[in-house]
Amino acid sequence: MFDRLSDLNRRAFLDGVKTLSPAVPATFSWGLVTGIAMAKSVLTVPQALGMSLAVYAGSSQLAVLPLFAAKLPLWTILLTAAMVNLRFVIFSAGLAPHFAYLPLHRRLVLGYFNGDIIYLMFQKRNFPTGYQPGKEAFFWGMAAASWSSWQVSSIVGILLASLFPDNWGLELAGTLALIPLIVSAIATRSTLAAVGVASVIALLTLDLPYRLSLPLAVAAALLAGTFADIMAEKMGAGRKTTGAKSPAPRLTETEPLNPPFDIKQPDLDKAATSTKNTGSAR
Amino acid sequence: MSATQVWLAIAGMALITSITRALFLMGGERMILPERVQRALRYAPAAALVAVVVPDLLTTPNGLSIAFSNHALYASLCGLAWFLWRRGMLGTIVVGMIAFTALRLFA
Repeated sequence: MFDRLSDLNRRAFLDGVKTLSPAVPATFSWGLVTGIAMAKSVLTVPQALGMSLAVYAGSSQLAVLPLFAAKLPLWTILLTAAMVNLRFVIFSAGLAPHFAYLPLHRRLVLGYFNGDIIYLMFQKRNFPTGYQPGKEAFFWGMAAASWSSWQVSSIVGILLASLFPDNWGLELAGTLALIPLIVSAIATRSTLAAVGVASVIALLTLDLPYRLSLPLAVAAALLAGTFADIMAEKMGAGRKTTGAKSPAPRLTETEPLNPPFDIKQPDLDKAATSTKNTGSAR
Repeated sequence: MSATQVWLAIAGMALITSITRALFLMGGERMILPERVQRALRYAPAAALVAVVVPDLLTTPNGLSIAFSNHALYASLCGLAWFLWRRGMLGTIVVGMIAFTALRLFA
């Protein structure tokens, strides 16, 4: 952006930083835990630093740590990371109409720096689609605040971890940090069905080679969730069929579980909100 | 896993972050994700996380176990209970770690 330093863009950038700032403490603690969990895993300190800086996706970083420890093959690790990241695909669809005017490489970079909280707060602004003065600068203000608080806390966590003895079992903190994400994601009955089926299948197929159980569990979960949706739609169809609006999951979706820390929940549960947001963005 | 493989995994994960976050920014601005696909994309992350976490917590050096000696499992259940009650992420981690430490020292 050639006029990046224009007064308007500078103010929009600072506005973005300010908008994200309430989420910084939560991002910071989340990054700290992720850093500690990475450093206490099988990763070396340089590897943990590299992962933090390059991957920049907290929940998928935490999810793969047990897989590294279990010496599972590369593709299992990558597949798991991809599954955990699938929610970002929804976000990318939500951002697309806002930034389609940018050249490809700029869109790619912008996408990489998107995240759960950034996306949520960006959509809350209800920007008109297409080019708007200051919109990109606002996004970058949030992205810069989010990226720097995440990286600083994660690196501090990695370096602090060596102060704690290994037998304190601090790697468990990484697993514990995933519990709120999973529970908050269960905002609908269909998701509950999906998660329940996933855990049962994962256990039943645990002895299959290469942890084939992982893709099997996710595939079964998608089927179970979709099936639950269809059932709910059928039951809801008796009342009023308004066509494409899909009233079904709303039956249970009225009150998504409270996010773990009000606006700042860094991960999965934002996906639930994003559906409505992408809807309004179109 | 060799160091090279770990670095390969890290590079691959970075690529996955880039691709998933930019997928529709690459030229799908007219693309509308059907509701059902959106929902499926939402089940997948939670499902993948439980498919990792549940076996990880149940596996001990002596195979699958729900015995009380599986400290990580019971500590995580304490964390889960805390989260269901208070809805705080930090509290979940702190309670889980306290339970784990107590089990390790006294059980």
